[in-house]
Amino acid sequence: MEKQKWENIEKTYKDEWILMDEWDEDQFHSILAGHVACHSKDRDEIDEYISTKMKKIHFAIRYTGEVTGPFFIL
Amino acid sequence: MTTNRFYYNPHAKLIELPGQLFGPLGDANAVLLFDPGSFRTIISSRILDKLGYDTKSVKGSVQTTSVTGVEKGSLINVCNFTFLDFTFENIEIASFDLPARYKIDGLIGLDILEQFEIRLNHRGRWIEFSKLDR
Repeated sequence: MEKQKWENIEKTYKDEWILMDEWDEDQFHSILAGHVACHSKDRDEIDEYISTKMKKIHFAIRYTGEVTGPFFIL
Repeated sequence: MTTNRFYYNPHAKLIELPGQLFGPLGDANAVLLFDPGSFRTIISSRILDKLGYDTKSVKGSVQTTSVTGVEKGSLINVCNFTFLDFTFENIEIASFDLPARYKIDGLIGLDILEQFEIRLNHRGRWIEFSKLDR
């Protein structure tokens, strides 16, 4: 399976959820490159893919847009 | 004492740390926020369900109050959890239905962070964790 560099994944799938089933990571588990198994703007579609199409539960999920988290400064 | 210095995303507004979660069905690489404002470490029930944890059958329930309101979760033991290259086995965490709009898989809270001496250099965009000997 062909892996893409994470920088390229970010550019290709802007503001989307990315599901990878194979990936390369550094010593701290930061993802350097990966094979995109599924991508979507809807996180539920990623979960559905994992439940219905992945034979082996081994995945990495990233969002290519801005991470907001549950806390905000208003 | 083991020390790791991690250079985080300079463009991110929050400190995102990579982590690994293992469960009965498999493993996942996840994004976790460094959050000393949280008393507990929280993992999204979305991820835990996929890894084979039964987030409905739990040790206990827990409630959190944040600026976004009151949310209810549950306490479960995760068999293996890693962030950076520090590993924790059979550790209790809180499972919450974190909304997808947060774009994260969990938060690393004070229950884990208290096991470290932490140096944060936000200008340099690095954070250093030294595991304290117990």
